[in-house]
Amino acid sequence: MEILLNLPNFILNLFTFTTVLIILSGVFLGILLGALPGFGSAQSLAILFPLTFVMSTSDSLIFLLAVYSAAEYGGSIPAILIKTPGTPANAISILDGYTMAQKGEPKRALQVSLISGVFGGLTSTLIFIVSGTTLAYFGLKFGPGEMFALGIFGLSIIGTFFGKNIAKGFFATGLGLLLATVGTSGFGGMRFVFDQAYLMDGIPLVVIVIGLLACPEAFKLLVDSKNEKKVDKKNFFQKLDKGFRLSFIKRLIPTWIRCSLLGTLIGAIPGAGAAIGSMIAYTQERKWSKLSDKFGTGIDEGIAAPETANNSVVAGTLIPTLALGIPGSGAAAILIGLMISKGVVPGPFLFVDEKNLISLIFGGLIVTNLFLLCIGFFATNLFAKVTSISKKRLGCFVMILIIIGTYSYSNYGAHVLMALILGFLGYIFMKVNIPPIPIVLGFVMSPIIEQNLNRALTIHNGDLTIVLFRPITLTILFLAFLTILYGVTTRR
Amino acid sequence: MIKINSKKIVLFISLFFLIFLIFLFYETTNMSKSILPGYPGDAFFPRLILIFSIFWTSILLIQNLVKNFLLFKSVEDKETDIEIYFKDIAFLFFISIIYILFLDFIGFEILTFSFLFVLLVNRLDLNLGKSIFYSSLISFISMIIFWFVFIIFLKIPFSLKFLPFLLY
Repeated sequence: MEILLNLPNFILNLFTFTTVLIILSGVFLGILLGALPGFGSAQSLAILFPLTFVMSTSDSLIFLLAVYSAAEYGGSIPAILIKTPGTPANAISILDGYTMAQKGEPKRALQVSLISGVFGGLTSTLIFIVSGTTLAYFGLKFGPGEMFALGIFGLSIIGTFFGKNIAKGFFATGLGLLLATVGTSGFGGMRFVFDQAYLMDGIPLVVIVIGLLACPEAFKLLVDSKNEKKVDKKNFFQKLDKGFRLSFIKRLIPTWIRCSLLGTLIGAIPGAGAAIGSMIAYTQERKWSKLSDKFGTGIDEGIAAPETANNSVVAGTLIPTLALGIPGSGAAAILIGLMISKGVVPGPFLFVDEKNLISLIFGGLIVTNLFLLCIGFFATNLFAKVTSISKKRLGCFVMILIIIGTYSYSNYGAHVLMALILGFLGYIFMKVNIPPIPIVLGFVMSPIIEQNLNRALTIHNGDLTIVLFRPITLTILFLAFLTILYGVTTRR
Repeated sequence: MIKINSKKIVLFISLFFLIFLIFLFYETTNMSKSILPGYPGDAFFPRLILIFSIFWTSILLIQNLVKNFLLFKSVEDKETDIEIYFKDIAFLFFISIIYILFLDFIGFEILTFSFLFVLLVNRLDLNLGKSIFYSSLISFISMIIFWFVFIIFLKIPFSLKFLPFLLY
């Protein structure tokens, strides 16, 4: 309640020169990177992560949240204009978005996508304020044993639902968990260091994030696209295309409300993500809408449904991320990593100890969505041009940004080398459908799970049975087992 | 460019990681024992992860060794031929390592310019003269932008040879 009461003040406090500049640049860069095919929100956050090294905790969080929200919208631009989705989450927008664009109304398609996304973002932020606080209240009653079980539950969802093959999903999750154990343990012992000085402090998150998410994309842009033909510079917009009209609002409001709720709910499930959110929203809206037979022919509802859900997922993902410390997506894992690196521990206590930070995040999300609306609306032409950029040329800048960004972390060449090796591994993994995001998620969750397990064992004198057989812990672990069983028995 | 069957790559990855994970399991025997009552020791959690990882890596290996082993496998996870441009990736590794190794001696300005120039010159789809001119120009402008963002704005202490570290 206190957070809600303080919210107007925090929103007003965000309008300082520095914060406005940070949000504006976050939104601008987010749309720009999100509009590049292959660059999802996680990849966009990964490449911009080094820019947060010198920022304060609040500024860096606001910046990355702005990038996250904007990148989700940015992905719809190439989907609508050139039938190439920026991320899997925007793939479904091709059906109506691209069709509408082909009919001569690309501006309308992009603006429907933008306004739907902003509506989804704002609604889900409001839901996040209420549900995040409630979830954290329940989380406060959890002991380390329950938090450990919750972490295992999160991992079970991540391994089961990321990727097409459950064995590949869990293989990647295990790899992430293992990478996090390298270095000094919480009690001063060395683990998997092999007498190498550069491994003593462990592998930094920035190396994992850049190496596994940004580097494979850079390799793909530079190497796989090297035979790409010259890109035609098209003028997408025609004078007859009047864009979004106010009369659309009344018609689209039911779609927006339904899909915002759906998107937030799906976002709150760890591992589900924006791709599933937009897909389910489109399918459900097709059933609920009066125009169900016209879906796929280029109607506003067909764009509004997935794009509203897609952006609602952002705040939805933050619910378990902040309230329980379980990241729901790759982007959320980066946000958690950022918080930990700045000395803030995500979890239920965040809502008690760091109320100002939570209010700032809420306020930041609201202001980000308002800025996204303004920038997206008036710079549609500019962002449309991004789709014409040659991939192989773009790759050159991504590659140098990766090197400079990784090196900036601690001016240490070994980190760049580690990122490159992980990048090559990620590139090969990408080719054989081993998902890289569970590695990042596992890496972020590993210390959280280990600390809670150790704490629980220390409290119970090392008796694992007492830790595991507490009623709530057992229920959560049983749910984790059911999740894996579902994944094993359902061949997707 | 090398074309390899995806099944062969997964087979190699799973076999390599299985051996590596078993080796890591052996390594956990060298980790420090617990001195605190209740604390299970440094090796406890890594061992749990290793057992978990060895199990799933074995499944992955069996999926690719045994024909018609469909457990845990998706219908969409089909075999394909994959193109891997090893030479180009090796070149990227090479220039990146050169960049890092010589950063202190040559400086941020020349190395960033050269790195971008080397990558851009073959990717502009222009005749050689124009390509050299435009890639030099783009590399120079980009280097100035990177200098401004990372050194002036973010104050990251890169080794500079002729550009200033502070603007005022």
